Amino acid sequence: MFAWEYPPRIIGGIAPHVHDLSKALSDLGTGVTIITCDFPDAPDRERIGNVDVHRVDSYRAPTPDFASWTYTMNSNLQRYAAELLASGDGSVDIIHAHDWLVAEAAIGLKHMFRVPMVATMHSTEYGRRNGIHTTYQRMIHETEVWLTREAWRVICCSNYMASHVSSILGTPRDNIVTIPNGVDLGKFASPFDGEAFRRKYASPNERLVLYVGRMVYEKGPNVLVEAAHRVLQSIDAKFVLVGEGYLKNPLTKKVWDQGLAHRFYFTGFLDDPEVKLLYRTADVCVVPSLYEPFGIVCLEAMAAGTPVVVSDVGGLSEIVQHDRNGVTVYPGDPNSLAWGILRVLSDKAFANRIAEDALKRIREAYSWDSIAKRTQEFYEGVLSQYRADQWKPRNHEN
Amino acid sequence: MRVVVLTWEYPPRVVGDMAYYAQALCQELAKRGFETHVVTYNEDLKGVEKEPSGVIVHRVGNPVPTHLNVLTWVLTLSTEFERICADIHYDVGSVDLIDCHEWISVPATTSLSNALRIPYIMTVDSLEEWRSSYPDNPMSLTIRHFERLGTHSSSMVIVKSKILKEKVQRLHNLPKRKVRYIPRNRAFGERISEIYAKIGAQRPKLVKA
Repeated sequence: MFAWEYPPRIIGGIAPHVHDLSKALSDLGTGVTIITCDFPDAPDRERIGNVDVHRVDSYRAPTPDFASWTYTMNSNLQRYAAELLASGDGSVDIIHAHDWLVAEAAIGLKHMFRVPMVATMHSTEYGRRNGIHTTYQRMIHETEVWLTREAWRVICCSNYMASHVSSILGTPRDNIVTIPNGVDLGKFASPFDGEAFRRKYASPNERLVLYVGRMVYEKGPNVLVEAAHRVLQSIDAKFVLVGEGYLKNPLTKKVWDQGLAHRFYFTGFLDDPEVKLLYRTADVCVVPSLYEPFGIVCLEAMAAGTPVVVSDVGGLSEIVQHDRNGVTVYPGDPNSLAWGILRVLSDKAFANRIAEDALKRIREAYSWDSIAKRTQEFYEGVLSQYRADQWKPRNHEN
Repeated sequence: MRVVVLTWEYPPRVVGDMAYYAQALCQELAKRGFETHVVTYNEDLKGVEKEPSGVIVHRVGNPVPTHLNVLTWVLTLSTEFERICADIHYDVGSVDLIDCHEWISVPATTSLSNALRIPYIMTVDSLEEWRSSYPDNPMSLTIRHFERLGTHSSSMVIVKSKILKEKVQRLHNLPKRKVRYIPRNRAFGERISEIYAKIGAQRPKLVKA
């Protein structure tokens, strides 16, 4: 399995996804080897449960830009993996690539070892940027097209994402399988002092409204900031926004200018355990995304037993059923978002009911165990096609 | 013996002198009984062609048409080089030796060498230090990284002039006998095929990531 991020190197959602999926797969008896980038103080080679993790020199000398680094890093990962696979103790049945960031390494290895390669598309450049506007974005877009074309089959985490990948990258729809992201309920079960923890973030009279995600346009933190004063007209609340991104400073300034600085707490990046406790402490978790291939934040909040208010967009629409296990609002509409937040905060019985229903749905459909089983079936399907195919490595006598 | 030459230029695509050098080299090898394949870039002439000399030329395009710089262009093209070389290895017959022309072919060659256990010879035409007016900029540094990786992990480095031999040796701290200057005279074909036959019979050095 190739991923450019794997804990402790966490940049976005790929690292926790790959970590949890690989662990669940290995618990079911599938041997998983992770090839990923190195990280300060993390060991080059590690065994986590039954998962073999190799952290490879990701090329730390200066490169002209992020994409140049990405391709150079791929070259290093590929060379390392080629040696590992050829040495015999690393022979594999399937190469699994996560996003364009490891496309070059995975595609090359597929051909050099004639092993089927599958790809999980977590998002697309088109979706992240709301279109393709620059040469840089076009290059990444074309790399995504290349990866999905080379992949035996493609995994998307929602039906929305599957349609999006099919129409934007041109992947045949029947070559895409939808397997959702999962959530580990065990991570929300540890005992903690809720009162004391809550005091770190909000006053006793304030309801805690939580946002977790990158501070970027597509995630909609600006919509939440716009919605805040409407919420505050009816209720005392503290808006806690966890995450980093280019919108963090402009939004901090904006709430200051509006005289609402005391109602906001921009925490920046927080450790995973701290975020998990925040989910459990919050009165409502808001996911105001404008583009959301899946919506792991929503899932984690639901697993923590916190009511959610989400944009009716992308993968979120598939997870949340309005008024049953959450509240959906119009994307990009601060009035609608404020209405949703107030709907939850002003009716405790309603909030409890949707949170309970959400937890039930998580247990049924989004446990890593069930997702790993579906992934294993997916691998088996690919392998049976591969076995029937003529495309195989062949050894020749000179 | 089956040899695959990886070069970004080969006639009719001529960028510099390397295209003609690669052609002459391939013709000499083919003449002496080597099954010689060239894998090269040519967006307009994609496909396989067997030349009258017996050299088989595989021309590929770049799977990612849009690029920011030569580095990203080279690194996606490399994957196509890998695909074609692996196809030759599995569908035609085991490849015994790769000839890696310049840093541009290093990413593909080093992976192929590790994956398929093929030894390789590195052919150096010029150096980034000479080409770039500012060799310490991030782009040149990355190119120099590939030059160093390629020369270090190859079985032999072949250069086209005496001055280049000294320079490559000193710059990359290579043993004297590893860098060979083979003049393009009447004996060129004979000398080069002797070297290629010898290296092709060896097991490759492993290239660390």
